[in-house]
Parts: sequence; C-alpha cells; structure tokens
Amino acid sequence: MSSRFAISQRIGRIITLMGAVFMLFIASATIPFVIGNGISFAVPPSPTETHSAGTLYINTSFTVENHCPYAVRQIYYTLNLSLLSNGTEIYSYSTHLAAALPGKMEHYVISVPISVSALPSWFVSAALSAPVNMSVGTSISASYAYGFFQFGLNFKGPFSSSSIMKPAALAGGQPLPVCASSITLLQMCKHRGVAA
Amino acid sequence: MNKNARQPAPGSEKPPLHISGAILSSLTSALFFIFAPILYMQIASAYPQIGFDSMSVWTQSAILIGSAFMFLNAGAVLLGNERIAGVLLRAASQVAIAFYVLSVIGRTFTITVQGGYHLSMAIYYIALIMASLALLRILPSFTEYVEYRRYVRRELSA
Repeated sequence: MSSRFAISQRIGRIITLMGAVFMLFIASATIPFVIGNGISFAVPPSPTETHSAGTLYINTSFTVENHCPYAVRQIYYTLNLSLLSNGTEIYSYSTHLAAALPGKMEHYVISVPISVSALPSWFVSAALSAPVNMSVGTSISASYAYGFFQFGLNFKGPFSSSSIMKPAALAGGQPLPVCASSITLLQMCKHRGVAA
Repeated sequence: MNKNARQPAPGSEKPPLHISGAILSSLTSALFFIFAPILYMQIASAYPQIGFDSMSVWTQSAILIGSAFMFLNAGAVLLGNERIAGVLLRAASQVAIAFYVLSVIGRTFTITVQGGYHLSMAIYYIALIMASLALLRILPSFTEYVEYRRYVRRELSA
C-alpha cells in the first residue's frame, strides 16, 4: 500500500488519540465533582446592607472550597444598581478576586460602598422627593480548569433608594433632616443650596 | 513466481469488511453515550440543592443523536475507508457527533441554587474542541479512500 495511505491512517489515529487525551482531561476535571465535594460554594441567601458614616455598604460573602486538581481562576465580581422602571444603570462596581487554588479554602468578603456623591445628580434629586424602586444585581463569574468551564453566580433583588437617602416627604415637614445624619448627603445638599 | 500470483490482486475482489472493528467501536460509543447521561444524573443527585434545567431535553437529544451516531459509526467502520459508502457514512457520523456535542454540551446550563441566586455553567470551548476534532477525522478517511482507489487502479493496470 502507498505511503500516503499509511500517513493518512496515522493522522486519523493521532486525531483519535488527541480526542482521547482531551476526554481524559475533561474527565479528570469533572469526576471530582461527581465522586465527592469537588468544589463547594457557600453563599448567604442574599447580600446584606450596612450603614457607616453616610455610606451604604452592600456586603457579599462567600466561601470557595476547592478539592479539584485544577484551580478556580479569574473570579470577577460586579454589582449593578438599576432603575426598576426602565433599567437605567445608576451605579456599577466591579472587582477582581484572588484565585481559589486546589486544596485550599478561600473566604471572600466584598463590601461595595455606595455614597450619594457617586450617584448621578438627577437620580439624587428624584430620590429626595420620593423613594425610587431599583434592583440590585450582583454577579460572580469564575473560570475553572484553564477556562474550559465557566461559572456564573447571579443575584437579582429589590432595592429602594430610601436605604441610601430618605426622601423629604417622609421627614415630617422638616426640610431634609436626613442630611444632618449623612455627611456626604449634607455636602450634596449644600452644593445644591437646598439645606441652609 | 511474481507477487500477484501468490496473493489475489486487490480490486479483483471486494474490499474486506471490518467486523471486529465495528463491534469494538460500537461498544466504545455505547459506553460513551451511556456514560454521559449517567454522569449528568450523578451530578444532579450529588448536589440535590441544585436543579438542572431542561434535563428531559438533554436526555432525549443525547439518546436520539447518540443512537444515530452509533449506527452511522458502526456502518462506517464495518465498510471501512476502502468504499465510498464507508467514507460517506464516516462523514455523516462525524457531522452527527459534532452536532451532538455543539447542541448538547455547547450551551449554558442554568442551575438554580438557594435564595435569589442563579448558578450557570458554560462549556462552549469543550464543545468547540470536541466538534472540530470530530470533523477533522473526515479528512484522513477521505484521503485513505482516494489512496486506496489509486492503488487498486495501479495494481489492475500492472
């Protein structure tokens, strides 16, 4: 038989071998998931909110426990505040986190600061007259086994502007008393000439 | 005595049928197509807090396209690359497996977890690499057919 016949047979065998090697790699990445707790991911039911010195912090904490032979890399966290009515994005925050290496347990705490000065002025003036309904969306994306597996964890929940600033109507006739308790809001109000 | 007298001239008879190869390849592909849904169900039972979406669609398409591939591939191996029907069956089976991989594996699985969280998993690159490896296998089998025909023509004219 001609040599070209043998060569093409050999190429066919090499392709089969490459496929088998690739399947072995995929199996080594997925079998730890099946036989045990390959990667455990602990996350609270929803992000928590804390106030500190006129700034609202949205806290997300999660724990990644990696028992797989491949690392979880490129963990990327984003938070979006958008209007519920038309989906306009008010605030966006994103950050990179460290990788979860094999055999390690990593605990991540992300607290996103939201101060009034970081919000657009038209939104602040609207929120000072009446509470604005918004949605908070957080998403964590990560890649596993050299990027062949891509995971995304998304949360979408309701959010009201009253947790950042109280509207004037709820303050009982007083002109924006909430400004006094909030340094950043006070500065904002002074800048606008609303509160004397 | 020349060489052709001892051996029957190729081309004067039909090319051989690869029966043992066909049995072996259908066994391996059966193992693969049984293994994939079992793996999927194992993941679903190992993590009861998560529920995979469109499980029935996944299983149905895995069984349908998987069994189509098994028959096509067994036929292709049985006939071999010496016949044009075998080469065409091989091409059809590789297209079927590429379609299977791209449609069944190459998508985003949405997995719901506790609270308001949604977990999703995408393995597009795995599907892309597996599909291109499968489609690449058409080329050498076609070359094998062309080389075999050329060899038969040369032997007949000699």
